[in-house]
Amino acid sequence: MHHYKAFGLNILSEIELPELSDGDASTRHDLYIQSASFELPALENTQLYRRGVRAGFAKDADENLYLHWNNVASFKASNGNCLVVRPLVDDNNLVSLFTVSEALGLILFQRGLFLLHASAVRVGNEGWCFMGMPGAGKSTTAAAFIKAGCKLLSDDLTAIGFNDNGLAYIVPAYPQLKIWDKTANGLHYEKSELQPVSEGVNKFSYQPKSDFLQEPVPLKEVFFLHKARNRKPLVPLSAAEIPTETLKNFPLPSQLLTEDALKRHFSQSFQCTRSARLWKKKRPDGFENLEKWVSESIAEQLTAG
Amino acid sequence: MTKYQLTSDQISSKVAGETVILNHNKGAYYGLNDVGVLVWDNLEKGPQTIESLCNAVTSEYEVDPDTCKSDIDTLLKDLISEKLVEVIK
Repeated sequence: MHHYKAFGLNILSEIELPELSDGDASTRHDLYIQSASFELPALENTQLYRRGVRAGFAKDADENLYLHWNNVASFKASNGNCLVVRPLVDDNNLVSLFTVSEALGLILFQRGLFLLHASAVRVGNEGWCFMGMPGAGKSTTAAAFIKAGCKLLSDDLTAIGFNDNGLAYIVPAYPQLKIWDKTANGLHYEKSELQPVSEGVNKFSYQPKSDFLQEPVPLKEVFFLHKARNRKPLVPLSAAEIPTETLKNFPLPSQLLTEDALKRHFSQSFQCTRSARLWKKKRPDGFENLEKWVSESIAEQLTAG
Repeated sequence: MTKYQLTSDQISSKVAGETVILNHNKGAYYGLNDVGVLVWDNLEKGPQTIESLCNAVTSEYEVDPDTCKSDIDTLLKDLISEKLVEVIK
C-alpha cells in the first residue's frame, strides 16, 4: 500500500504514483485507489487526447464515471472516494501518468470542485491561474513565475474550491510542472534540477517535492492566455465570456456537463468572480518579455499586499 | 390576467450590471440588453403581468406605454421560445 497527498486528499493506493507527494500513513484516507478488473459500459468518444490516445467515456445508472484509454488503462470513479484502475500495459509510469490526470479529475469532479485545464502558482499569498489553448503558454508562464520565486500549485489540472464565505481558493495539486526543453533553456533552469519526462523527448519535469504547499491558496487572478496580435494585451473577461471561456477550458469529457452539472459549472464560474479577477491576456512575446511581466507583477503584488 | 414567470430550465448570474442566462437543459447561453435586464430582474422577484413589467420599464425609461408594451411582448415571446420564461396557466 502507498500513501500519498494530492489536491488536498489523503490517498491510499494499491498502485505506485511517483508524481504525488508522500502521504501520512496514520491519517484516514479520503480516496482509495484500487487496482482491479471491472466491466466497462458502452463508451462514447471524448474530446480528450493524451499521448495520441483518445479517451472513451461512460456514466452508469449509479453515477459511476468511466474513462478508457486504449492500451493504457481503464478507470472507474465512484462517489468521489474510490478510483478503480485497470492497467492495460506493463509500464507503471505510464499508468501513473494517466491516473493522476483526467482519472483523478473525475474524483475531484464528483467531490464538487470547479476544474480548469490550467496551471497555477502562488504569488505572495495569492493564487494565480493560467489557461489557454494548447501551446498558449500555461506551463511556460507558470515556470517563469516559479523561476522568480513563486510556488507551484498545479500544472495541467487546476482544482478550485469555495470556502464557507463563498470565496474561491486553489487546492494545490502535486509537485510536478512539465516544461519544454526550449522553456528550460529560455528561463535558464538548471538542467540538474529537472527530470526528463518519458512522454516526450523535448520535455522536462520540475518536481519541487520538498517544499510543496498543501494548504489552499485564495484565487485572485485568472488569465486566459492567447497569442492573437490584433487584440489588446490585457482585457477583463466580459460577463458572457465567464461561463463560456471556463467551459472551453474544462479538462474532463464535455459529456459530464449536462443539466445539474452544467448549472453547477455556470454558478461556480461566476462565483470565482467574487474573489478573483478574470482576464484575457496576450502572451508576452519571448522569454525576456515574459520575465519582465513576471517581475512587474510580483513587485506590484508585494506593494499592494 | 396572464402572468409570466422564469422556467426551471434556466439559471442566471449578474456581474457588473450584465446578466448572463444559461438554459441548462439545452446548453445555451444568453445575454440581455439594458431593458432586458430590467425585465429579467422583475421576473426574478416573481410572476409578473405584462402591465407590471411595462410599469417598471416606463418608470426608468422615457418611452410611451404602447411602444413599451409591444417591445416587452416581443421580448417575452423570444424568452418563451428559448424556454427561459413560461406563461402561468
